[in-house]
Amino acid sequence: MDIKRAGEGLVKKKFSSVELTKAFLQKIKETDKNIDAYLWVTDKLALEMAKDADKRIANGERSPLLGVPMSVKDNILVKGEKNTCASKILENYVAPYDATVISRLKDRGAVILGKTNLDEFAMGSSTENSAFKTTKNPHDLTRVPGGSSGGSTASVAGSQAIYSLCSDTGGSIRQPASFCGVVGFKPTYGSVSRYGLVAFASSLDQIGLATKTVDDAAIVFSAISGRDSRDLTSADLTKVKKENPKKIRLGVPKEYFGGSDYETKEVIEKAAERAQNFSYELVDIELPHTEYALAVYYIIMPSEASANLARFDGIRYGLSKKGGDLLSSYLKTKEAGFGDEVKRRIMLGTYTLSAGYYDAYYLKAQKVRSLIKSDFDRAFLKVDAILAPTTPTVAFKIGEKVDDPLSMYLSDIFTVSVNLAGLPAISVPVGDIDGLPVGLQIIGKPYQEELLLKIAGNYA
Amino acid sequence: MEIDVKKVAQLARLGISKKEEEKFGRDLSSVLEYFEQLKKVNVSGVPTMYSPSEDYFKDNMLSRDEPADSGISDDLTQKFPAKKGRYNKVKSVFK
Repeated sequence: MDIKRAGEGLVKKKFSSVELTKAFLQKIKETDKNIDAYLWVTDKLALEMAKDADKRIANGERSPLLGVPMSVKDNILVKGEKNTCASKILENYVAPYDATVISRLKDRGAVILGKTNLDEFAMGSSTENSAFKTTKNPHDLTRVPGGSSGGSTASVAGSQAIYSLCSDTGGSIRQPASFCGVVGFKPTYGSVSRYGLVAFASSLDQIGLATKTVDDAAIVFSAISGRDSRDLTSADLTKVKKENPKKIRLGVPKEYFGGSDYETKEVIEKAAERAQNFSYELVDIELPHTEYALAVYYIIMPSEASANLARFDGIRYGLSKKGGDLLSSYLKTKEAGFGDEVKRRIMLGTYTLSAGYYDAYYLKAQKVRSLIKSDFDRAFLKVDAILAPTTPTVAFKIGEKVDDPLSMYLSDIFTVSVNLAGLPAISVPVGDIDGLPVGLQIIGKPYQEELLLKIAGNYA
Repeated sequence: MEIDVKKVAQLARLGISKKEEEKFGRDLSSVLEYFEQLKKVNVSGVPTMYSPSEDYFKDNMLSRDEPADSGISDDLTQKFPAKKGRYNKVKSVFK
């Protein structure tokens, strides 16, 4: 069931939103014992929203998301519901307001089924860093769904939600979408308001979505995008000049398709060749600083995270452990509240920003970031979008990388440069290896989401 | 690469045990070693890039600094772990 079919069924009165919502709640009840996609289900809220949607439909209102059940990653605030970021430090935190994306979906009559699991504060690539549970890949329960939005992509892959809202800081939507065989879309930095998304790395974070189809991604994107006075990094998309070239040229970077070998390469190369079928032209391009993207990312992201997470000090909200004095209260609260990966990244970021190391790490990384962005700028003079793998491997086994942070970080190697440059990118399922899905990543020009989705639609 | 984990944790106001100190020391050293590759990149004359929006929004956007009712101030003060009336109670900062 996708958004289009659900909408048709609702309008043609084949089923009501309440019936559809109940069917999904039942499905979650039956399957989530095994998948663990949801941290909790908001059944009361869901049924209220469904009843309201049915009324609106009966009154003749028509909107593609009206009455359609979906899930939300647990770092996007839904008023009155818990928002934990899968962290003990926010275990009992109830959101006092709606994120802008949630208000926009509520206006359009969406039905929220529940909050999905993630790596703590979105830091991870497998959901194994959640303080509460590990989500399993619906295609193989012994494997990870990817992360950090693994709960969201698993809920869509396992038909426990029709679509999901999630966030992508270095690949957190695209990588799990690839592992779970669904569409994962990260819009341009600035296309979707981040008000109400718990801040992780502010120059990289972006809200996006997981869906069954590219058409669905276009529907959800158009509902949530656009300027928001509460997020000054959000853009007025009405001012964007939309490109619609007659002949579409796709860049094939030699850094991804050249000599280096990786597990998913054959499937990706085969998919790329399909461009000829829809008379797209393939153009060889170079992104020479690609090899440095992961190192740059793992300096900038923890630096920003260490600043953003300083707010969880036990003083204003969240977990609060009492110590003898102020300092020991801080130490105890953070020690008890944060998991290992969060601690690791806070320390890494504190180190790279500290006196004596700032120039060598943080400043250097910001300069190489410029070079990575310039690579894309140059490539986009010649092409309309760029093809790349989403992940080097298919979903790995639960526990396989959990004790080796660096090897876990390497699973983000193809996705991070997009966040560094602030570009839109989508992962679409294009094949499998022994039944495990493989996603093709398509990277677009800034704010040219429509064109990107049109291209992706052909590949899906 | 050696890293003084104890000092970094102190800077981050993060309590860690002796055992964690060793474990994080190992983890962080291997990541710092990975960063060594950046030494190869020549960045002379290259500008820094702090955010993608620097490039896409030519003008810095600022909101007006004027009081307005957020409608959620009571919800926010409710969340104080320790409070006196509407005030947030904290341990003394100065001795």
